[in-house]
This record gives sequence, C-alpha cells and structure tokens, in this order.
Amino acid sequence: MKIPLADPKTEMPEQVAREVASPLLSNLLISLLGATDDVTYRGIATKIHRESSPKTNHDKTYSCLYPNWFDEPQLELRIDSVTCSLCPYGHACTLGKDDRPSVRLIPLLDTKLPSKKLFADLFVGISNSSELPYDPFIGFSHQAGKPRDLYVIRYSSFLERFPDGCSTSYGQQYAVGYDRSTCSSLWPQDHAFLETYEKLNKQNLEKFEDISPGLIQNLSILEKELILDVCYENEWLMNTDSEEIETMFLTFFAGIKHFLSSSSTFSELRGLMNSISMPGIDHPHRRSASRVMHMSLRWMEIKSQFFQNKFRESFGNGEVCERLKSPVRVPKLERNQTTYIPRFPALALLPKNHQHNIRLEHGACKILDVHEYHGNDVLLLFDGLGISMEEEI
Amino acid sequence: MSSEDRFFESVIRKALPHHYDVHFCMTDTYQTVEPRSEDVSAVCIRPLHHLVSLPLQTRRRLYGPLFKNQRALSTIVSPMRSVLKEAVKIVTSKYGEDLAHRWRDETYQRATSLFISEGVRGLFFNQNGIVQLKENGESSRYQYEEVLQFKFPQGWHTIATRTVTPGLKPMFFSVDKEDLWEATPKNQDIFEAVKSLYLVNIDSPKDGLVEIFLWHDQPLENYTSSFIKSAIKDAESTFSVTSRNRSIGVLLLTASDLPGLKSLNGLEKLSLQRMDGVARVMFSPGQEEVDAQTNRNISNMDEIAGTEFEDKVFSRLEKMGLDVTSLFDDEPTFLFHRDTIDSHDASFLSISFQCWSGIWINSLEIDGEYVIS
Repeated sequence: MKIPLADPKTEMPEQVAREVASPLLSNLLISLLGATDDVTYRGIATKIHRESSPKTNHDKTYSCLYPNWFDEPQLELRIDSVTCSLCPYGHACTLGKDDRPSVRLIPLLDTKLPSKKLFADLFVGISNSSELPYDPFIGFSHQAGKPRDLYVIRYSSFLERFPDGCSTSYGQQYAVGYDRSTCSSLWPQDHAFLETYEKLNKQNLEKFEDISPGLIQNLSILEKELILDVCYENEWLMNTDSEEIETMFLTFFAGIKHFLSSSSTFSELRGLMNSISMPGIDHPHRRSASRVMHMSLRWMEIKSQFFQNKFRESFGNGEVCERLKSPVRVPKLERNQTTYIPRFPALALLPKNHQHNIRLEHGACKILDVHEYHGNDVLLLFDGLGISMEEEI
Repeated sequence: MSSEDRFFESVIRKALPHHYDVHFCMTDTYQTVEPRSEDVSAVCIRPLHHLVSLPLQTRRRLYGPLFKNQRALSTIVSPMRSVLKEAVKIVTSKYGEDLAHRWRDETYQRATSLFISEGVRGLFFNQNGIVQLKENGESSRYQYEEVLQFKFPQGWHTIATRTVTPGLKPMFFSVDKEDLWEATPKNQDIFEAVKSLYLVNIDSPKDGLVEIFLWHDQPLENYTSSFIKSAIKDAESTFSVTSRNRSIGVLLLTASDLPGLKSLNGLEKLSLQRMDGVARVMFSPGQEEVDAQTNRNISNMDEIAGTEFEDKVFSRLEKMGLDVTSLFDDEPTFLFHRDTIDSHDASFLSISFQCWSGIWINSLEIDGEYVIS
C-alpha cells in the first residue's frame, strides 16, 4: 500500500475522441517495431508525433511536455490526448502520472492493514499544513518527507518481539535505544558507553582484577546510597537480606568503579566519567552520584551476564546470583539481526469505543500520537529509521 | 460565542501575563496555530486530549521550517553547509572520501538537531557542538592564548589561535579583524566559514510557545475565577520558565461526589502519560471545616490532613481513575488556595504538570534515532 506525502500536482489531460486521418500512421507504427537503434526510433517517433497531432487547434489541446525528445522540436506544436496515446515515448512521459513521493506501508507478522483511505486521511489530518510533507515522522526520522517503507504491526505483536525488560522510576521518554539481547532501554550515557565497550576485546576485560574489600572506602555516601537504591529497585537486594549482603554489593560495585576509572581500556570514556549527569535524562537512576558510579551500575544492568562469574566468585551465593537473571523472556536473536536498535517513532491506531490499556513509551518504540479508527486491533504505524524490519522481525 | 466561552477566555487571559498572544484552540483535533507576530510569545489553550499528539506536533512545528520555508532554509542551512564543505576537504585529504562523507552526514544531522533546540549558540557553546573555544594552558600574568577548535572525526583540532590580554577580551567573532583570530593558511577557509556561520546570528526558527492543556470536570463558571486564575498562573509561572517551548497540563477538579461531574475519557487518560516530572497540587477547600466541633474552616495546608476534605479529594481522584500512587509517589508540591472575594461552598483542587513534548532538554549526550552498531 502506498500513501502519497503531498497533494496531487499532476493534471490529467482531458480526453478527446478524434479520428486520425493519416494513412502514414499505421506504417509508422509498424516501422517503430522494427527500429533497431535510438536514432531510427527517434526519427519514427517524431513522425508519429507530427502525424497524430490535431491539424486544427481545438479547446483541448496543449503543448508537449518534452518536445526535445523529438527531432526538430516544434515548440509551438499543439497536441491532444490522442497524440499522447500514440506517442512512442508515452512510457517515459510524466504528464498525468502521479510521481509524488510516497511511503509504502508494509504489514508485519500477519497484521491486517486497514483501508488505504484511513492512512491517507491520517497523514493529511496530521499535517495541518499543505506546505509540509504529509509525513507524521518529521523531526523524528532523517528520511521524513522522502519515499521509504513504513511498517504496520499489531501492538501486542510488537511487544512480543520487543518486550520491555526493565522497569524504571522515570518514564522512558529520554531513552535513545534498545538492546535486543537483554530487552533493556538504552539511555544517552549507555549509548556512549556501549560505543566504546563494543569495540573492546572482551577477553581483556575478563582479566578484571580481584575486587578488594578495601575499595569500599573509596565510595562516597552518595555513591553508597545510589548503589543500594539501584540494587533494591532491581531486586538484586531484598528487604530480608542481611547487612552483610548489602556490604557485598557495595564492595562489588566499588570494584567495578575502580576498574572503570583506572583501566586504560576505558580511557576513551575518562572525559565522560568526570562529567556531571542528569538523573532521568542521561541515565534512569533516581539519585545522582558520580558519573562513573552510574556507569558502573548501568554496565551491570545492561550486561549482567558479563559479570555472572565474577559475581559468583564474590558472592558464592547461588540465590543472590539467580536474581541477576532478567525476569523477561528475551526473544532469541539471529546472527544477522541488529542488537542495538533505536526507539522507533510510532503512531498508535486504537479501535473506536474500546477501552485501551496501552503505554505511550516503550523500550523499542515511542508513540508520538494516537488516533481512533473502526477496526479490531490496536495497531502501530512506525518508521524503521533505515532498518529493514522485515528482516529484523 | 457562548457565555461560557466568553467567561473562559476572559478568566484565562487574566491569569496570563499581558505580553502573551493568547490563542484558544479548543478543537476536536490538534490544529497548528500560526503566531500573529514573530516577536511575541504565544500561549495556546488546548483541551487535554490534544496532549497525546504533543511530541509529533511539537517536532513538526520546530522542524517544519526546514521543509517549507525556502528562505529560512537558505539562511539557516547554507552557512552550516559551507562549514561542512570546507571541513570535508580536510577530512577527505586525511581519511578518504567515504569516511568524510559519512562524517559530514552525521555531523549535519547532529548540528541540525542542536540548532533546532538551541539556535546557533548550540553549535558553539555545547559539548556536542562543532566548535569550541579553549584557553591554552600556557599563559602569563599579562597575556594568555585562546584556541578555536573544530570537531573533526578524530576529535577537536585547533583551527585558529589568538592572544588575549586579561580585561581586554575581544568578541568571540567580529566582522573585521578585531576578534584577533589568526588561522593557519591550511585552516583559513574553514575558519572563515565558521566565522560566517556565527555572524549570521540566526536563532531558532520560531519564537517561544507555551501550550496549556486544560481539563475541568464541570462548566468553568462553576469554579471561582480566583481559583482558575491561581491554578493557571501558578503553572505558567513555575514550569521551565526559561525554556522557549513549554507544555503544561492543568486539571481543575471538584472535590465532591456531586452527580454530573465529568470523568476522563480514554484519550484523556492516555494523555496523562505525557506527564513529565513532579506535579503541583493546589487545594481550595472552600468552606470545608477542620472538624465539626470547632466549626472552623480550613485555613492552611497543615490543617488538611485528616479532614473530610482530604477524604473527598482521594475519593474524587480514585473515582476519576487517576493513578493516585503514581501521582503522589514523586511527592508533588502542595499549595493552598484561599478565595477571598468570591468565597464559595464547593471545594476544588487543581493538578498541574509539565508535559513531555519530544524535545530534549539540556543533556550531555544529545543523540537520537541512530543505530548504535
């Protein structure tokens, strides 16, 4: 299904019924079939053009759009719809053809597309102004206003493929991406961290130094409060846990902080580590402490499997280690699928007169607008931001 | 115009500062408002359900000029393109055309985003910008050196230097040579392009806009004017007052179980998910009493706890289906409103909040819709 992004600008030529009284024309048309090179074709086309033109002007004539396609272009020659219907270059002519930029709507995972009119009206209605392209993703997609593929999927199917893996006290509106390997939202700070982390040889990281209990002395009060807050929120720590387990967590994160801030592996991030961060914007933590501490905690939150051995070594406690596992069932990723994806901008279509329990912000998508329609399913229309979703989903 | 509309417009206008150009956009669907004057900040009063469309419409408004206004396009983008054109020459000579063009496209997108949110200053005075001014480490008591750096693919590189005498600091850039910058011959072209970009002195494409999404559970004339005014005035004068684009939700509620009070419909409930940050709750208990024995009316915030009024408030919020836990979890700011001239029997409360409009506020890492790897 294609939806145009602009008002129609093409003018269809008005049809006329006129007899072409040229005995030459049928011969020329036959000769055209035998033309073996461009020059001959052009010569015959010119003759057909001339022979099929009205010999007297009438009120439904117009000028050819491309007179230069013919030999000896006759700019003053008037033609009509009969001339165009016989034109040998008709297949390439744009007169009366709809060449507006349009987007293609692709249904994903057996989603049934509603009518084309619904989408066309939706695009026009959102626009508010014919000066702008009828594209709902202006400002959210670099390809907005240009022809591309957009996707339609049932809301429930989207969430099955891209479940929300972690809860946060803050809304997810400031998150910038989604990690499909853990179903977690990625925040601006994670983005910067992962850009460095993914370039590293992970074997080097395994030479993580032993975590010394003395490192806990290096934690500030704010950092300790932050660690405990995040651990309780993620349910790594339970209210029934002893103070000893709290201390083990503090020591563990003091070790990660030490490694991050002293290892040359992460020297690229040193500038960022020493900068300030905004809770709820740069990272999802409620409290604010040093950036390096936030980074340590986020490393654990988004890549907890990396720490599992180190964690077991430090805690030797099977029950606590089990808590690191994500409660969400993570869909299996194929090798060619992208691990880190942006949060797709989407529009939601809700069946009219139904109660809906949808959320506007998800790990893998942000709903920019909501519309009601006559249908049965809650649908998302989203921009893949350059990712081919047929392959990714 | 009905008498309710007239009352509505007159009360709202009085609640807002006089310098605003106030628009009432109480339509079924979100309609863009064209400001009547470019120099005046506008306020749009909208129904609550328009809030679901806010991120889409805000970015559309801010990015729109890049699509529709060819004159703006040439003014805004050309100096930026000139800078990148010169930079690409340098990057190409060092890293080849492929990397240079990829870098150019990424930088252009980032710079456009910065420009949209912060104007031309965003490109110069922002960690994510493209140009920075730094003081060179070597200095004496009488003079020090400043360097102008450009962000190339491999980081910041100096393109010009100048010697500054303390107390006589020149302008960042000036049309003549008074800015004292000396660019090396190799960097002369990019320096000139950067200087032109700065001196274009363009700002964000549109002046500020405040959008107020208003919901009330009974006809407005049933509330007291002073309560409506206080609720709107407080919200307008509190939330992100330094931002150019602000979006605020205001709910006016009646703390009562009177029949006929409206409830939120589906779209309005969804709209509340746009709430961003801590809410402000203003209580106006009217003639509500502290307790039956004393017959004394509630006169300040401390007296609300444990009163019948408090029960009515919670019961009303629950009846409306508002998630009281999430609303009060972040400890909203509580305010007390006391009517003076138009004292009333009914008691009210207002809930106001900032809304997520899809625009980044200052963050050290502004990035958007990119695939990370």
